[in-house]
Amino acid sequence: MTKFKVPIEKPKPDINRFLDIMKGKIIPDKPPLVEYLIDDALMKPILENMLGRKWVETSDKIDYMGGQMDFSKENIKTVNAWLDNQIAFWYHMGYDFVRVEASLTLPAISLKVADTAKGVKGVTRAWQDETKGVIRSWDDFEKYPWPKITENDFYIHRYICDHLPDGMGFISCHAGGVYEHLSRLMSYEGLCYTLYDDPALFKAVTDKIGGLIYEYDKHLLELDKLTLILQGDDYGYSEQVLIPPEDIRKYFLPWHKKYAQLSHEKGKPYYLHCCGKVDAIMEDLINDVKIDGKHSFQDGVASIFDAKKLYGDRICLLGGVDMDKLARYEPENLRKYIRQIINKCAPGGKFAIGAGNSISSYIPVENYLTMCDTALTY
Amino acid sequence: MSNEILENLKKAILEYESEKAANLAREALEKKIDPAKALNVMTEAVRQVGDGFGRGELWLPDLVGAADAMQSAMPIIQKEIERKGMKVETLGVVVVGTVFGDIHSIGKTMVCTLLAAEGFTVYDLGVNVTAEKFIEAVKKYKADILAMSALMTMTAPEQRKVIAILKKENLRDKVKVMVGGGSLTEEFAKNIGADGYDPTAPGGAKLARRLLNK
Repeated sequence: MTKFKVPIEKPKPDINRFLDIMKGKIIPDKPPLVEYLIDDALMKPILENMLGRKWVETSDKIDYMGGQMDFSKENIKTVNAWLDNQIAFWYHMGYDFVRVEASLTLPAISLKVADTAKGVKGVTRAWQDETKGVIRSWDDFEKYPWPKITENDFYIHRYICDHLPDGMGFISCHAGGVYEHLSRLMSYEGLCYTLYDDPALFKAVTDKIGGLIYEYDKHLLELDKLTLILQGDDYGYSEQVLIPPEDIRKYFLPWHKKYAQLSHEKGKPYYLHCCGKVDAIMEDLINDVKIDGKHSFQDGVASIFDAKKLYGDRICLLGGVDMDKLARYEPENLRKYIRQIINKCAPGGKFAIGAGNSISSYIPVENYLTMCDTALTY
Repeated sequence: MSNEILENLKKAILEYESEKAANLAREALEKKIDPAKALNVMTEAVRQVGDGFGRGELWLPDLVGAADAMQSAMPIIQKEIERKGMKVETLGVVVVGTVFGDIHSIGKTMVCTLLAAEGFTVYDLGVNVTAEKFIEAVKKYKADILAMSALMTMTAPEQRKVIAILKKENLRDKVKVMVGGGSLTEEFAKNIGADGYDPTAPGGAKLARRLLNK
């Protein structure tokens, strides 16, 4: 196997430098690393085989977005060991921050099928039902077990803050944004019909979720060591936005504007992970919501090269390595491609290199290591 | 009167009124309207929505709404066509499904509706379809086209697997293969040996025509 610079034995993370680069205050000789989410299928072999750590399963339920952990006395040691692994992974892989997120308990219908990714055996993936939601009427809305936010919801965040290595920051958010949870609870088809047939119900469910995330963010932002919120909320697919832009502006962006304001009041940036072709709402996100950074850029959908030209002087750009290329390219071609991205996007700062979307189970470990190595040795 | 019912049926689909569309389909049959004429107005409406989507004037929820309204009225009309033993001209037989390991259905269902609107005979195998089931259906329905959907990069290789089995079973020359799904690219489609790829559902329906030179 190729010798990589990662994992690093004695890393020197510097979250303040990371933030200064993202603000354009420092123009670095090479961009820092960034990731949104990294699948267990990659974390496990790296932690076990390269860092000599023991892999820990958390017994979280896969059908809740972000998982739901068992914080009972009997299980807390397991949760802590899992968190120690998370911290060790982000630290030794050369990041300036740990990124972990969790969701409130928002049960929905999940469909489980086998993970067909190469090399992944015996793992089940949960997908949200696209056609049938748990909320289809006002009665469903009233009866839905809406969660109450408790201090227990922030156990993992406090643990991370208390165990951060020197120089490391902590990036988090509520796992799943307003639109994402709406589509989980109503299903995509269900929300489409409700949008036209009963816009009041559509708004009620949206606002209920939006309000919960707002309260959640208030708690998050109380954590001194929280660097920033990088919220996920996917509004697009490969061709366009998932619902008409005017409806995104009407129902969802006002919530993100509130989250951004909340962050800004605390002097922290607000970044958004938003998949797909979202050109139709990009100016709204920058000018009205006032996001400070955006993640998820993929060639052919929303390329990082185009984003650099269009938005690179106004917000910071995160990621940009196309998932298809990251999954399929031979390491040498991948290195060339990543160097090309750095050459074009690093000048001027406000750029961190990483995958264009979450690092999923189908990404070969060697390719992920190649990406990190190329960036760190640039 | 019959014109008014047909106009309302078309309007119901254009306004995504599923229940209304189904009721109007029933009313059309009660009033002895030619089911082929009813089918025509329905497919015309769906094509209109598909074209609007293609021009960037309509959005995904519009396609979903029109497809749903069409799906609710279509079986009523089709049943009558079958009962009467009427022969409906078809552009060809298409077997459609989402590959194994993938449960995403919206894109696939829209392709089915738009293919039917174009005039194809469509067999929808559903989601999480194994390679064996695809092959079985291609044989059973004597398919002219096999259309496979895969939303995820991790499930897309299943399409390659099905094409390999088609070759093994000496079926590859008898059926055109088209692929689609959010994670796919033209390059990937060529690489796995598919005959065609289109990123959108309306584009997929037009592609099917091109593949059969119709």
